[in-house]
Amino acid sequence: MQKYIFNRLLQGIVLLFIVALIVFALARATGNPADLMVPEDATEEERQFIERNLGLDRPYHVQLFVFLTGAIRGDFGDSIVYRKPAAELFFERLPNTLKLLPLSMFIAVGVAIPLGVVAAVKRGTWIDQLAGGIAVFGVATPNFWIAIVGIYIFSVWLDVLPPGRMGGPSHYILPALTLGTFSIAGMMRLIRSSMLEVLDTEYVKLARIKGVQEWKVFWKHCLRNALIPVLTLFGVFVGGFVTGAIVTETVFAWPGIGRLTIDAVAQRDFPLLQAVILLDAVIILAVNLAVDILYAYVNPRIRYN
Amino acid sequence: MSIKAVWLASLTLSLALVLACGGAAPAPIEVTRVVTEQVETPVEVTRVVTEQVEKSVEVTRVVTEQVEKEVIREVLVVATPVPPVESAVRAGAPTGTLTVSLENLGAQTTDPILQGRAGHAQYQAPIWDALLGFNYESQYGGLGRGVAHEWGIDPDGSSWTFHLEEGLVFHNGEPLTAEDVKFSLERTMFHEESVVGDGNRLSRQLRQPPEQAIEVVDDLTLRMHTVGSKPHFWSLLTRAVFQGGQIMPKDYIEAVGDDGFRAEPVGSGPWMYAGHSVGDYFQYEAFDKSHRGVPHFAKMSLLLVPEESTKLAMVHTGQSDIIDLVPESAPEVAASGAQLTVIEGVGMFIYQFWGLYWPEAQSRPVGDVRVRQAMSLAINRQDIIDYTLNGFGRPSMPFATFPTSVDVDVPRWQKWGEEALRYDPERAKALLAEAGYPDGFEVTFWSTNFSGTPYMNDLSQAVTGFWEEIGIKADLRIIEGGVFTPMTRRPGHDEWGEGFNGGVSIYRNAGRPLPVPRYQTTFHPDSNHVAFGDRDTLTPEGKEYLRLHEIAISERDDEKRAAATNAIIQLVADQWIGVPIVQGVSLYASNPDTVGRWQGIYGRGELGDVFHRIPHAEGNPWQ
Repeated sequence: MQKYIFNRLLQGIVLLFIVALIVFALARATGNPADLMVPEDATEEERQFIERNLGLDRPYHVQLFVFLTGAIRGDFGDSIVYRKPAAELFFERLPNTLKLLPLSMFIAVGVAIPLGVVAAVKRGTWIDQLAGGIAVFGVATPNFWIAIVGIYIFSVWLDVLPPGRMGGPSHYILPALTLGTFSIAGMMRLIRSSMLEVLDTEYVKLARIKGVQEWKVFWKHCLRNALIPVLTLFGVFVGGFVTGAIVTETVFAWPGIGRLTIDAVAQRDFPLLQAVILLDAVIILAVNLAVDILYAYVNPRIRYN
Repeated sequence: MSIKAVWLASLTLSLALVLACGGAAPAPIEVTRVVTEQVETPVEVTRVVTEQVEKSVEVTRVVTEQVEKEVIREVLVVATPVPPVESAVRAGAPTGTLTVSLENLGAQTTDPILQGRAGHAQYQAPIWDALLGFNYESQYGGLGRGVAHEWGIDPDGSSWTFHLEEGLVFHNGEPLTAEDVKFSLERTMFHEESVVGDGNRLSRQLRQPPEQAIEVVDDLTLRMHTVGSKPHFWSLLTRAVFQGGQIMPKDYIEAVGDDGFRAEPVGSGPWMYAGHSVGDYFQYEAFDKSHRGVPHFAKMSLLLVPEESTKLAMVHTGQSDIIDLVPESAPEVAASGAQLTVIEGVGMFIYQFWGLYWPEAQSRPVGDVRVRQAMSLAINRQDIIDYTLNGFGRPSMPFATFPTSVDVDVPRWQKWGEEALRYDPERAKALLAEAGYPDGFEVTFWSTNFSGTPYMNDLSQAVTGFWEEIGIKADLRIIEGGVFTPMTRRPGHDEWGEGFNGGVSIYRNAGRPLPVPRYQTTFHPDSNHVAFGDRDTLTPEGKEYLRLHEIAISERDDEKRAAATNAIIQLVADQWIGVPIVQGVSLYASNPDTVGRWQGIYGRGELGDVFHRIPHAEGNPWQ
């Protein structure tokens, strides 16, 4: 196991290096941040003045060297726009995004698991069809729309929840609901199919023959095993929540790293963009590694060599 | 009635009102040398009196509006009496919190030299004063007193003298002196981290080496030596034009360093910094010793809320007192009972032809001036205002020309706008036929939404729709702003076929009171857009433009300078290369439960110089 983890870490480092190269190249392919920092009617001289002050007039290989050597030390440079260390900006925002995670996952898991189990147990019935409809709705409906409708109903119409920004507990409900809704569909469908597979196994049939109560068969014997593949998906969702809550954070004016990412992209803030994507990559690698390790513990049949 | 007669009437009325007001008016101040020299110009006399009676008299306001065109120029050379600071805006201690949600807060830096775009006028302007400020009393905004209350060109023509207001202090209690001004301007020009374009322009206009060009005469007097005559030098020192001249505390910054200053920023504006979180908010507390006046609210929060729907919900639920909004939302907001504030003259949307100076362009339809004029006549601008902008747009004057424009014959160009920018599809078709394109042609139209105006693509669609009606098939290509801007610039697109060459694009002009720099950006041979060609390919119109440009930027004689500026406007208007579509406005919605009626500054869409004037609710409940 230790060897496996060591290998995965090595792979991760190689992957991060490749990500760094790609991010560096793609960021610059989309344009020069100086163009977005000067007014549209600024002269070429003014633009060059800012380029010089930002170090953007240096050759690309010099910029790349500075970036890579800094990244190894954890120094991603200063944000061109905000003029603060990019890593500092990232870690200032990360807790705000992480604060949304527990409630979002609670909503996703709390709805998806019972719905998936019931849909599998009541396969072919109207309940199954309803669950399927919810899944399609969840996948097909943009987060953006769910967020806007949520604001309209709960903030403007009923006036029971705030429409946006961080604040007390009530501020978390709508963003978490929006984030969670998207995950419900995928998670529910996976639990349903996984449950159907488990329900058809010999040990479940044996449990039934032995006269174990149905609810125990479903919730104790089947669900535990059906959750193993879901764990992988859960890892993907956690990574996605942390790194991809762009729409939710934008609509709810939530100052997390999703908003930071979109700002960095929109403003061609190279150092910030590089830092955000690399640190996002580190988070995703870490979460995936954790899930893999957890996988081995949850399912003793799985061993990594 | 002549201007002179108006001024004389104004003078009489104003003097009478001053007498009637008795002790309420500030004591007359000693008229300076500059005023004495200029006193034959009625504008200046009235200005003095207007300032003395402040804003208490309706009659004076009317007269002031009638001579709006003179306001900016006379302020340049006339001492402006100091109104009593404490009562300039309000009486009584500030109370409550003003919460404003905005779509954009710029770079959110706590140092004026680190913000290069218009966001500074939203979140930095509350903290820092500029050397020159706004004229709050004029309908058309424009230049007014800032930290300096008196300024003008010296008789030698190549230096400017600024007299600072006495008794000004920074938020930390330190006095604001000429040394602070010199330090601030030099910091803006030379600090290695400065991204302020005005700093770069300033350093090029000052006598070399520029670090020796700013002379502190005494604590309250400053002299700046320019390279030759620079009659528009003032424009680099005020937010009334763009960003220049923000004043920072020299002793404080030298004591705490750049990092200390950015952690605990200190200015002299009506709001003290109280905290911020990048990507989230800025917080302020009222300062009671600003020359701009004392805010009505004790605290203020500027919140960054990028999504329009969320902002609308926030103002509706009371989470926000004021929000900015786009024309699309405005009718709904107004119908809901919110108070709508419209700020006029903030900019102009145009379309622009690219690379017409190339020989290859001459064989293209758009190379014919009649075709370009036809394309303008095909556009129903009133329909665009009514339907695309929901009524929140205004008819336009020529390229980069506004009612506030300096050295410009405004009535002449307002009339031109009504006539030349009319909707006349029949004439448009006739011109196309005359040019040899009766069945129209194809052209590429590039479009984007620049930051702050997310409806530019809608305007482009409307324009191309009107062109289609006269047979012109525009291939509308909508691209992202960060890709669009580099396509407009030279160097980088120096050959035919590169960038937008041969095509048309949408663009916009900020509502600045000085048109010449904007013309320079597009038409000067050393500019970004080189619409008349570069030094090697300059067209005859370009050569004439260049001749006029030199006069417009350096001629000391007002009449000659104005004549050159108007000639530039005419030259460009006749070429139909940069063609106005409509004037834009800035829109804000306020919750009338918490905020009273307020006005913005004409031509300045941001509110950093307005927040302190926003009052509490007048008791008109939300409907």
